Amino acid sequence: MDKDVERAEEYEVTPGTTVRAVMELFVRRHLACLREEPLSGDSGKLWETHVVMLNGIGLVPEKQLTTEVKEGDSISIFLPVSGG
Amino acid sequence: MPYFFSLLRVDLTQRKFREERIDESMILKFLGGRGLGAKILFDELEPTTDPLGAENKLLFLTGPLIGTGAPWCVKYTVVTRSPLSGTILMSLAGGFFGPRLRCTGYDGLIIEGKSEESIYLWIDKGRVEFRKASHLWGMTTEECQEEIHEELSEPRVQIACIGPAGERAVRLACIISGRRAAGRGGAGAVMGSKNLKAIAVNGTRKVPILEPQGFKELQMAIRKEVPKTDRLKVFGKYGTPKNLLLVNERGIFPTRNFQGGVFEGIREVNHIEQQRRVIREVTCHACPVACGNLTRAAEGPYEGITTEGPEYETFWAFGAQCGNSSIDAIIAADRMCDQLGLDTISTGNIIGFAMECMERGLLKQEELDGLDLRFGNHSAMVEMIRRIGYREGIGDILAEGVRRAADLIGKGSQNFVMHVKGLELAGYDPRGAKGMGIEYATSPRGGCHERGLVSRETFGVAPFIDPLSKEGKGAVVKAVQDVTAVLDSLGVCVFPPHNDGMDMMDIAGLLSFVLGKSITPEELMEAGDRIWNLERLFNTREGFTREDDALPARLLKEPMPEGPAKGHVVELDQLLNDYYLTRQWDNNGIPTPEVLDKLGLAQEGRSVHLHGKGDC
Repeated sequence: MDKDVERAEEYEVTPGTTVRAVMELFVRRHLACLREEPLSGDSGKLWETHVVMLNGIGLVPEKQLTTEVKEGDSISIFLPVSGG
Repeated sequence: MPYFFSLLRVDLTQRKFREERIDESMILKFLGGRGLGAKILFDELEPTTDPLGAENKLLFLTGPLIGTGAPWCVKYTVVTRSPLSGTILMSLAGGFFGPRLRCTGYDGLIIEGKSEESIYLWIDKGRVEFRKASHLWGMTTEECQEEIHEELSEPRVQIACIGPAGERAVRLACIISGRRAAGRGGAGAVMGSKNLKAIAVNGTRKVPILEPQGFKELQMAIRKEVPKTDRLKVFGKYGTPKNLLLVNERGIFPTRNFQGGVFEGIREVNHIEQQRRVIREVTCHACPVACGNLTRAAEGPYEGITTEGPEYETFWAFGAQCGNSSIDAIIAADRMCDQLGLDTISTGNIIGFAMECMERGLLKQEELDGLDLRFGNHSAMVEMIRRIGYREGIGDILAEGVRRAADLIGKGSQNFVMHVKGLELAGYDPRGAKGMGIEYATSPRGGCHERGLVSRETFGVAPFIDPLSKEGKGAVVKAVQDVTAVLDSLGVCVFPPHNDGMDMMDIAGLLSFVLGKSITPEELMEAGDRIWNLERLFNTREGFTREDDALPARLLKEPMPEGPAKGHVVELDQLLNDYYLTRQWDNNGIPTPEVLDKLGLAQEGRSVHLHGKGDC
């Protein structure tokens, strides 16, 4: 995320929880704030525009729906701008 | 009247100049800037010419979109033979120099020979002055530009100059205009070897646009979309440092001279920390995005030091590469490089190499004149930059570039020297981005990330590809390399087109209106392919083969120890086979007669005979 260092936060999950489910929790918690950002659109559907990674490995939207998370996993969400 | 280019050929030895015309057919084939430079250098430079000798040529070129006011059409290109790699060198810079040069009425300069005494050039249409520069010699790039501004009493004049590093033929020396650098490959050393301290231009003429109404409408339409484009807006606010966290998360952020891919200091070195230090945004000519930031160091011994940037690569080079997590030290390092006229990527890469040498006991503290050059010691890092710039002590060895420095230091240090063809690698580890391995290995100027940055791998830009997969990467890399050759040759900043700012259709449209004839995106892409092949032919003529499309041993033999790419190396042979096949090059990496014929380079191909590799 844009301010991921500050926004890094933990979620308790039950077995079988998917990456997308965690993202939806995140979006619900921060929707008002995200709408102020120039990067999330109005829907808050970050998965349509952002790079989503589980432990640094990119997941396409379909994989986000099927990949389950386990304790200690890290999900990162970035708007991919190109240039470096 | 057909469109044409006007170039100024300047002989520094004889102090003569003349104007030459480049016909439209050449522009259609090679576009301008980088592509036109490749053609001129290929035709005019004898193989194995000493890059630091009077016979080398130094080209400053613009393209047909520069100075038109179209967004992001801003860059000038320096083309020469690199003193670092011995390859063809194309080095680009934004800012304002390019448009101001083109508006002199000269679309580019071909600098030849060597002046007996230090001089600078003062150029406007019909006027070329060879002015004494003895009072400028020794000055930093900022001092030099201030002095020339005062001397010429022209507030709008733009200046490209070298610093003390270029004067001393430091092979990492760059050319600075304003605060922007034509950074890589040692063009500053070539300029210094000619005793040319600076070039000042002050063009104010209009550049030709054969269909101005259509051009105006299209460029306004492109501008209108900018505020609606999320990725451009984010890029405009944060610029390239936005990707520091992302690349680190993907485990391809080279750390401590590529010993790892995840930097523990990333929480102190990222775009958020930079934003806390930003004084104001800065922009290039005609840019509605303004991705640059003027940044001031906040704390410690560096407090108050101000620089434009640092960009992603500089944050990497003086951050993770040197094991340094002081962002303020990186700001100071960036500033010092700009002042001395040093390429930040190569300089940081080399200091990281020297740090590993010290930690392995291959360089003793006494050989470093007492400098404790351990990873993370940022005060030693900043001091080492100064010593490289002035060639003091061990800095004199490091100033030769990392490949030569390793040969001079010996003791097995060649095993962890991170370059391709002598050009130091940049801030992406190809063990976790396999296409970047191809890019580093095949980039025409050596180990460069920029001629074909595979942003689908490094940043995860759509459409998704697996950065660890080898399959199909040849085609992915070729496509981005050819697009980049088009953008470079037209002088279009690569960032907006890669962030939804404009596409190849827009660029073809702008060019069509300028030239007054229809150019298709397909024709542009073919020109990109042609330019890439011509640069390859130049290097082939200099003796480069598949053997030189190599990567450092560390990337081939030492598995990535951590992160998402843990356990991976670069399977270079397989990747190159696929890439050569895609390019229609033979197994030795030489363009086949078939592809050269298809691209209209048959004559150039026939002229390439087998020459021994030059001294570089």
